[in-house]
Amino acid sequence: MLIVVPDVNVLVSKLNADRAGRSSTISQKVVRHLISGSIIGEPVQIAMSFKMLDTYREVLLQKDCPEELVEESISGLIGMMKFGPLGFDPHIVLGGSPDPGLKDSEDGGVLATAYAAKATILITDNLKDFAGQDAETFQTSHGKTPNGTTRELYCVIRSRPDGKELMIVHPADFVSWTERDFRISPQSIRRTFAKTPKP
Amino acid sequence: MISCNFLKEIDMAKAKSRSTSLPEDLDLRVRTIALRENRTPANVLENAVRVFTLMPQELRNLLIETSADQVRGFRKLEELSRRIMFALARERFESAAAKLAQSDGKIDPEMLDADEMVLEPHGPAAA
Repeated sequence: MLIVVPDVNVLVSKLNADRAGRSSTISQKVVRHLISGSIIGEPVQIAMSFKMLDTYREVLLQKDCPEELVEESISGLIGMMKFGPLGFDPHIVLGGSPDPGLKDSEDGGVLATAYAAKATILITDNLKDFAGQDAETFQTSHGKTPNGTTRELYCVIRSRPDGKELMIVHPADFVSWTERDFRISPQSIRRTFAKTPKP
Repeated sequence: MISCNFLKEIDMAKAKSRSTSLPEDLDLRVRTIALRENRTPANVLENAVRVFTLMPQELRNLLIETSADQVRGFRKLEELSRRIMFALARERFESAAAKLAQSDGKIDPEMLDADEMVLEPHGPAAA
């Protein structure tokens, strides 16, 4: 079972791509995988807190999205969480207490959500904000955008309070691994990629 | 000819007896739902029959067969219900996304550029 927390930036990026008339950008593929119900044969449970949904609502309204459509989208997300294989209730993480180890309190809230949900994967574009002191980082890929910007991507593994591990993955890596049938686990990441110093 | 057969079928259907009495456990279930949802037992029955009679025969047979096993049947029906509810929520999310895509609003070109990044993976997973 994969319990996945998609960061709000992934959902906002998907809306941006939808509006631009694209059909297979990274964020669109991530969302498609998450709402399909399973990834490489493993059931997927989406997990987000109400605090994260509030941020999603706020950003969409700032982008002039009609309120009733924003609420419809959020209601769909809540339904998919509630009726996912584990029946995740966003009420159990009322925003979560921000992790004091993180600079940005919003990211701390996202991490707290992932811990409360016992998430296996957190998908975010903001990797550096999650690569704190107690985290291991692994160099995963080299990315190049159509405009020629390049970026070194990495994955972060953090210990959860319950003793298990959380993988913090860039959306592009998540899509690439899923499409290659690469089973995403702390063991497979440690086996496959070189450890890198804190970025 | 078709309409003649159809009318004949309606006449025959009307002639069928529909009086029934529910087994005790089923009757209690109907009354419990009515109590919890603040409805009348007649309303619960009317809704149940309306939904059931709109289903294709194959699905009706499958559901009857599944519900025959009190324990496993209940779990299976619960799982089927969950999947239906998940599918309906996904439909709601996708429908909202399609309408949001059509709504007026600015497109962030930098965000779009990053969203179209092409990767060169490191490690054996690249193979």
